This record gives sequence, C-alpha cells and structure tokens, in this order.
Amino acid sequence: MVRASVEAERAGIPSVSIVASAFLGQASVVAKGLGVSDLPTAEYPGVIATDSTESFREKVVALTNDLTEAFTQPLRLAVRETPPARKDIVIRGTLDQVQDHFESNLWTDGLPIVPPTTDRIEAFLQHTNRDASQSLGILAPDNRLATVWSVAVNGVMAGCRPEYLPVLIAAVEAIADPDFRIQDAGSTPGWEPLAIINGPIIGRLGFASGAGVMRVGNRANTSVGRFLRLYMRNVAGLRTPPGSGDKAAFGGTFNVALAENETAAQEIGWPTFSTERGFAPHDNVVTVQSVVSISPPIYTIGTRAKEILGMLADIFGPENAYWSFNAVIFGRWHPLLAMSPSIARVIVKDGLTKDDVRAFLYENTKIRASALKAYARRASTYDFDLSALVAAGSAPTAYTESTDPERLVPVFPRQDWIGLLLAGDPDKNQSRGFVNNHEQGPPVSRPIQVFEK
Amino acid sequence: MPNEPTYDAVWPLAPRERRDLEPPPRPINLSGKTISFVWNGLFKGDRMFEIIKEVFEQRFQDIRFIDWDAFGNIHGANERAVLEGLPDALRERGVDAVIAAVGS
Repeated sequence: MVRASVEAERAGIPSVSIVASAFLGQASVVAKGLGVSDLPTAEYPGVIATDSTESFREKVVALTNDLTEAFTQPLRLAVRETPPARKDIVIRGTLDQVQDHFESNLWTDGLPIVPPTTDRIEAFLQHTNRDASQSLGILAPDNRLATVWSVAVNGVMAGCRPEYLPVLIAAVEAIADPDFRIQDAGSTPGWEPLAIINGPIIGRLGFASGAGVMRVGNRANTSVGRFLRLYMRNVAGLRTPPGSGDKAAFGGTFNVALAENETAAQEIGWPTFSTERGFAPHDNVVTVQSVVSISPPIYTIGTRAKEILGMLADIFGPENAYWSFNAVIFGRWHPLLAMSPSIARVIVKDGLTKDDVRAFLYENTKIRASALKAYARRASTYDFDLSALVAAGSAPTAYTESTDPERLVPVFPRQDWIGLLLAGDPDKNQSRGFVNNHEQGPPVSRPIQVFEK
Repeated sequence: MPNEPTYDAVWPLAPRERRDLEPPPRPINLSGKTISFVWNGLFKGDRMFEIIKEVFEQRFQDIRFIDWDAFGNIHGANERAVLEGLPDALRERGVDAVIAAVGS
C-alpha cells in the first residue's frame, strides 16, 4: 500500500496512505526504504476487524480531517545515509561489549553472535570465487543491497562454518528473487523461510536429514537456518519490536535448514525435491520457501498405499484447509509434505509415484465453499467471491462447478503445487506438513556454486 | 576480566539502494480535483472509500472520484503488474491526488 503511494508520488501525484495505528511504524520503515521520510498518512485508530459498523464509520469520518490535512503536508525525502565502508570497525571491544553494541543497534536476533571480524569474514570469502562486492539483489523493505560481503558477515555472526558460504549465497539469491516477495515477509501471519538442501553437499557439509532433522542441534542445519533469519533482519530490515519492519502477530522461531534424505529417495526410485524442480541429481541446490505453520506429527499405519495416503490426507488436508482461501485469492500456494522414508516405501511398494500421491491428496482433501468464504472474511477479505476469482483466473473452475454454498471444493487448487520430500527418522512412521504463505515465499531454487581453491 | 581479548567488528548491514524521487508540489486544495482510490483488497477499504466520498463531496466543490477497481488490486495476484502500471494509469485518467488504503 505504501509502495503504491510512493509510485503515485513518483508519477508526480500527491498521495496519502490510510494506516491503522499499529502499522504506522511499518509504513514508516517501508517508506524510508523507498527514500521517503514522513510519508503523509491518515491514521485509523485501533483494530478495524473488531470495530462495530458504527465505530468504523465514526473513525473513518474523523480521519477525513487527517486526510485533508495530509494533502497540505510536504513529502520529505529521507536523508541519504553515509554507510560505513566495508572494513570500517564499528565497535572495538570485549565479547560482551560487542554483544551489547550489536544488540542495542538491533543487529542481532536476540542470541549472542560471533563478532564479525575481518579475519573471520576473509576465511569465509576463501570459499567463493565471487567478488565480495558482488550484488545478489536488493532486499525490501529496507532496500539494502545484498552482497557476498554482507552474507559472509552475517554468516560469521550466525555461527556458520566458512565452508557454508556457497549455501548462504545461494539462499540469499533465492530470497532476493522478486518472485519470493521478501517485501512481504513482515506481514502479520509471521511466516518464516525454510531452506531445503539437495545434492552431494548434504554429506559434504554434514547436513542432517534424519531423526530430529528440524531441531536445533546439528551445526550445518541450525546455523544456516539462523543465518537466513538474521540476514532478513539486518539487510531486509525485518525486525520485530522495538524494530518496526516485521509485523508478525506471533511469528515463530527460525526454521533450521531441511536436508532431504536423498539416499532413501534413490533407493525407492523417487525423484528428489530438487530434481522435480528441474535440477540434475548431482546438482547442489538450495530452495527457500515460506512456512507459516508446521503440522502436528502425522502418524500413519498400514501396509498398503491407500491406507497410508488416506491418513496423510486426513491430517494434511485440514491442516492446510484453513489457509487455502489465500491460494485462490493470490493464485499461488505451495504446501509441502515431508515424509519419513519408511512411509514412502509402503506407498512405492504398491507402485505409486509422487504424482500419484499428489493426485490422491488433491482428490481426497476438500473444504466446504462456505467455510472457505468464512475463513477469508476472518482474515479481512470481506468480499471473497469464488465466481469472481475464477473469472479473474486466480482460482480453477473446479471451485464453481455448482452454486451450492455448501458444495465441496478442493483444498489444494492444483496438485502440482504440492511439494513432497523424504526426511525425518527413517525408522518412524511419521510425516510433517508445512503450510506455505501463498504468493509470499513460493519455493525459489538456486544452485550452490561450490568453489575449490 | 583481565587479559580478555577484544574484537574489531564490522557493520552487518548494507548500503541502501534507492531510486530518485522528485516530490510533487503541495499543499493542494481538493476542490475541483480528481481523486483516485487505490486499495489492497483488505480491511474494508472499499467501505472506507464510500464514507470518504460522502464526506468529501460535502466538503470540496466539484471534486471527482475514480474508484479503486479502475486500477486493480494493489496486493492481489497481479500486484507487480498493477504497481508497475499505476503511474501511467493515474496520469491517463488525469488524477490529481491518490488515497491509498489500508495499512493494517
């Protein structure tokens, strides 16, 4: 919304943004990132979703005065920063002094960091042939330039080993892709990026893919996951209070990186997550996608594929159903199901492919159209209309095969949007679902460019 | 602690990139002007616009409005295309001022 206002100003047309009280700080961060200080705003006090019709009207009438006034206020450009040079020392001190300085500047994630000294950064840079100043993209809302150097700095801080640098670079390239929409990572659902690792680098760098794969504990998985969140805070500017760029209502902790159990995939003859995305089996790949929630453990029992799939659909479907209204509004959604290899083996024994699994999940997970509409309303899309969304092309025609409000419609608009991979304890009958945040954070893959000196 | 080592730490952020912007002149009196609404499809912005129209039509002479749907949803499936096309779309319609909603 602020971006639209700034686009209007750029076109030479004065604008004013209407912003609810709690979002004034975030609006200011976004505006500053676009080069504007004190973007003219009219404040809606309080929470729109919980105001009565009468209260809503009174507040909007009242804010018309602010609107009128805001059109008389000059738009001021943000003062251009004079950033430190790359090797400038911003603090010289003991470990505690460095921690305190970084913490008071909101440069940490709340955990102690490893001080980013030039020696340590240079050790990281030994693992790439790229120039330290090379641009990897621009990260909104702060609109800061992502570079190999800043990746190394934050990699040091997150506790990564120097040899992880190529993975970190690829992950930042993924989140800097415009398709990933990093500018929306501070939205109220509070989604987290999940880095999925494929290729021989899993073994080479010691990524875990088995029991406890999503727990902190293994350095490669943990520090790469921590790095991604730290980088989003420091370079994209997505900070929770006392910062203002991140408006996650609750949020969650960072996700550790998820490596696929490729050995198991090969054994059962299934393509890996990255080969399904067009990479060769020997390619090292990072895919980053958003995760807004993780399912409970999905236990499945039985010796036949249909039994297992029915139980997966029974939990994975409802887990995603509540959020699926977004998929048809935004025309994008990539839920992910990580299965234990032992579960996949039962499915494969009956001759089913990954596409068969997707088809089953698509066919056997439905939601009432009335429920979809109710969920959309609760998330402030008051005029949710499936017919209009089908006409606009963001929802498939399967959503309007009848006009009965109680008809069943798909939870997953397209079966090929469902991601599948193998991970977790190979000796357990458990799977986990990951709910993706629609067009915000679709899976974006980048090859990891390993550099040997 | 005696003999505690010290560290020379560098900046963990990165320089901002920004496009030039020449702010349009203000103040503007809304009488006789064409106002467009742009909306992200959320938080009852369309209802807000109806109320604003009602108030402004009484407050400003000869004010005109262009509804949000002339431009598309600035936060929907086509957000990128809508935002990229917004400057031209506003100019083509002779818009004098924009009200954008809703940040929430």
